[in-house]
Amino acid sequence: MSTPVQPFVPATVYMTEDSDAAMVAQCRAGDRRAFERLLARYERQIFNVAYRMLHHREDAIDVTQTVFLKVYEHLDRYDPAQRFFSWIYRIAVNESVDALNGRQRTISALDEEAVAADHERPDEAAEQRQLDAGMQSALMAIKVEYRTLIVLKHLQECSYEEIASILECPVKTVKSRLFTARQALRDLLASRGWA
Amino acid sequence: MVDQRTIELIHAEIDGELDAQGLAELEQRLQVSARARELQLELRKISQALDRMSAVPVPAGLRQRVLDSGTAHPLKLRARRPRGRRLALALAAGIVFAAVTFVLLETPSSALRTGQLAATMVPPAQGVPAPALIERRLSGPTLDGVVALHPSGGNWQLSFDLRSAEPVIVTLAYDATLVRLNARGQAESGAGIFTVAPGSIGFVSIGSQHRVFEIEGDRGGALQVRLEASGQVLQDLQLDIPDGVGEP
Repeated sequence: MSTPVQPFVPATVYMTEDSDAAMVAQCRAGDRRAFERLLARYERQIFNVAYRMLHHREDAIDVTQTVFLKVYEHLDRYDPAQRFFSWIYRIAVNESVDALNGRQRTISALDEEAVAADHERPDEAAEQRQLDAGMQSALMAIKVEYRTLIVLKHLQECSYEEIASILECPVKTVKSRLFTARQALRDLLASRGWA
Repeated sequence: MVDQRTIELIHAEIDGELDAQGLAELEQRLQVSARARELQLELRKISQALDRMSAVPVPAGLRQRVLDSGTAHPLKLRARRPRGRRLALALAAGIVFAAVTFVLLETPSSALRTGQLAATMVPPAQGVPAPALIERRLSGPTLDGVVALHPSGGNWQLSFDLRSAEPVIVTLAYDATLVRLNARGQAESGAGIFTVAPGSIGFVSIGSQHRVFEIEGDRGGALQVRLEASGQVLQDLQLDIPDGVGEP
């Protein structure tokens, strides 16, 4: 059996994605498109951190905007030895906490509209909305430091080490606080007849 | 009562952080404690519910909003600036960037108290405007345009017609102890985005922009207008809004 002759040598295509460090370096060299790529990469995560911390869509938008402006403004202070991921998350957490502290109004209604509705069946979507609303309401009722841990671990799927890097504390402290946070959430949900 | 070690093992197991030895230890402990088994079930249920929470979709236009709101300055220039200059610029830019930025919502005019200077972003004026009381022409290598104050319908309209080759930060500053600026409104297309802090309203003008503020109230006051680009002050203007707004 003869080997088929290829009319040309197929090109090898490598789909490479710039590392955060490379994009930050490009930003610092004045490449605005690199910043746009960083924004595209992180806007979803940062908006979700802010939204879950604040449970308010407009405030989360404001915080996300402030986070990226701060990143842009302070890129010259960013230490490449640390992960960009940890740095931007830290800014997001701090800005969210600041926004919570500066809140003048009372959030009277759950901001349910923002929750994604990618369910095919209406009953599934309704169930998901109910779950989201219940858990978000519980999150808002526990201490903000506990909420931070829960958001980073369960909603952002960060490891203990990543959370420790974001919050600049030892892994042991992260574990201990996370356990306490889950206990607090459990106690609260139990009091609401959920758990 | 569940002992601390068992609680730690349960949490670690939920987080997928237990090795084989840890799992074996947890198994042993669960076998002898019904309360520990109950706690494990409860925490697992909560953990699974948290993990099932949906990601919230990013609002349309957020990315553009970030890009439009001041990230267009060349970083290279910023990084080269002396520290003192950077701090001064940070203070100035802080009015625009570090303060709470929001899309100003339309509020009824009745909400504005008399006796205060109130600025309102309004749609572009229709028809021929009345002659300007104040008109300042801007001209430079990167920016040209007109800042003008017109009487309009019993109020003042402060208009900015700017054309710039690069993003220009426009800051309106005033003494917040003497006058109070409220703002609301819409730009030509959609909502206008401003940055507001006590005593200051700012926006970023990119390309060709037409923005109009409506000023109303019995008391006038001094408005300091600063236009900056790439860390350089392009122009400082002082506009003295007379008392008796709308009656030049």
